[in-house]
Amino acid sequence: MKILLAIDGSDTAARALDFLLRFPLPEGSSVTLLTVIDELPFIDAETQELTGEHIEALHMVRNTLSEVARKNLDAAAERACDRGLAVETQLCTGDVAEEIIVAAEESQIDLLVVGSHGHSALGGFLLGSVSHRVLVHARCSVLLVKGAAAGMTSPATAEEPWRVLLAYDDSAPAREALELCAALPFSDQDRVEVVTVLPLITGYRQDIQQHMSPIWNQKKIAAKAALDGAVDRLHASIPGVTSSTHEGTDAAHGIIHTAEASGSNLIVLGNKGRRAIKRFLLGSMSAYVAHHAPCSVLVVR
Amino acid sequence: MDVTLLQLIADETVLQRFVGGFGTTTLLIVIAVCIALLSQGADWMIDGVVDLAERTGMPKIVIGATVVSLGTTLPEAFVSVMAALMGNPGLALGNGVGSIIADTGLIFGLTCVLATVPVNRFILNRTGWVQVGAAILLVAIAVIPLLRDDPEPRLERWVGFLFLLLLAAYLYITYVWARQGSLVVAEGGPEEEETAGELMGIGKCWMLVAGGLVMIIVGARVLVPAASEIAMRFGVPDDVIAATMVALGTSLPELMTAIAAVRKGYPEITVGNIVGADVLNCLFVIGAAAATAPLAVPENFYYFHFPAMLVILFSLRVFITMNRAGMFHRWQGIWLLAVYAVYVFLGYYMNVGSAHPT
Repeated sequence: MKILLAIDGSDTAARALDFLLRFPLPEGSSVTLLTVIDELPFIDAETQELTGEHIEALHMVRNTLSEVARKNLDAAAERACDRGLAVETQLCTGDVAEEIIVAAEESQIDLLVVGSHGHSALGGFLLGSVSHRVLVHARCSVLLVKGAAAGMTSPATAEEPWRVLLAYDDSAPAREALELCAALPFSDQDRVEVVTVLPLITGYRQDIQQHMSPIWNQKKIAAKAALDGAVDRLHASIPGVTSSTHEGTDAAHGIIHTAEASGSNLIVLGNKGRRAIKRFLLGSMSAYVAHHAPCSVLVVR
Repeated sequence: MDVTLLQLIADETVLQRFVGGFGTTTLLIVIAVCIALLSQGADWMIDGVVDLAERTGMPKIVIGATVVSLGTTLPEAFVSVMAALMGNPGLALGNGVGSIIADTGLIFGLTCVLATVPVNRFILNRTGWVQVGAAILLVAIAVIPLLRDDPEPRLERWVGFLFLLLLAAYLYITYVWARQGSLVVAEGGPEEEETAGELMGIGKCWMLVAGGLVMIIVGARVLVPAASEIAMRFGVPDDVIAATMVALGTSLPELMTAIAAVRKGYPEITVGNIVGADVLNCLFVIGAAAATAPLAVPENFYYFHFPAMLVILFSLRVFITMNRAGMFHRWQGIWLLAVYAVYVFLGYYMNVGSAHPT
């Protein structure tokens, strides 16, 4: 598995690295550590007619930032190496979110890992603008690592088992998420809970009409069968697999609620990939879950 | 103008004059607020009534066939009855017919574009024919006085009562069909009992019902004179404003439900909802309005509103017959949307300047 971890020297980035190093990665995985230096403060000398003094000062700042970033990258690389991963480092300048996405595409990365917010921290549960843009626009899977703020669940120690919640609805993206889970070398202590949320239309009590509808009941039976199939698929490699179905107003709410109730430390879900008008009218569920989840979220594409 | 709240509630002419005093932008905002009151009031009222019904042990099937299906049509019904009471037949009829066109053209069309809607033959070969039948009955009854060279064709009160009777029959048969449908379900379905979910406190129930009802009545009461006033300012007849702006506003519950259904992956619910809403708009909305007061049918209906309604409903039937593969196609949704757009456009284009005071 080819992984790209974006770090920027912040605490959240450090936690993202910790998370990744504890994560059950397949054999032979490689990690590219990327730092993007924000281009904004740098004024193009040609357009601004700066004097020699200013240009020199700018160069100094650039160089200092590069040096600090370089040191940070090297330290992180060492830790990754100790864990037994093939490591590469990359340093570049530009629009942070864009550079991350481009780098992931160019190197054909399978998994992009970002902290939930970098230095633009507002603390706690909120998602920074860079991580949001990366989550929405990346072409590959994205693992969003949330910091250990109050109420946030994350594996506190290396010994604490994984409690993964896999949101499953028998769609193609969900099956990809399932395959990814099946490929991860979990241990016997880890738990994976496969959850299907059947959405109800509660406005104007349409849920009653829904329950009467034969199609709803067919879908419910099919969903349970698909869920059982998913559990079988995982059972081969992960002994601690459970499943549950829930009915609720919103699939996203249902997932978050179940994660909170189960004390999950990672939510895995497929990305439906709605674009343009549909996205405007119908919204993005994975972005919503990523924003509001009480733990880290892995969106699989 | 020295006006008391009691006067505003009780005296129509006072209300009309009061509303007439607003600027046009304020008036549009007032209309939007009324529509919001209608939509939210209906939602709360249904919540309360369903809960009360569940407490009496009424089976969910009956609740679904009656309360819930009538629920989203409450805004249309109250507005049309209020319009009939306030002597505005154009608005009453326009709202009913316009709602049919908005539901089938705009809402169902939009659903077909956004999602794959299955052709539910169970619903479409039962309720579907009632939908077409009711519409044709309405047009036929309206045309008869015309054929008799009646200078002022009206839907008499007996027509209203006939429609309400047919409505009762329709609700009963919907219950029968629902049971047929759920027997299919029970054969292969889960063994869990359909237990009533968590019930709210009974006080809350009644508050929702009463509060929702008040909101709907107030919303309808203010909307009718406001819409009439806007029609005069735009220079179009009341029935055009009713068939476009008001109908869309009162169909907001259907629209929100349809979008929710697509979002949650159950677009097939919309088929039953829209077809049912069309029947109710005919039998319940126009029936109740005509039963309240005889409705003079404006000329506009014979060469514009009725034909448009029939075009949309026939298009739908043609599509149902065409779709052997069992799904509605996106282009069919686009066609329905286009017919709706042309209808709205022509409504204003053809009628500007021909407004007549009611």
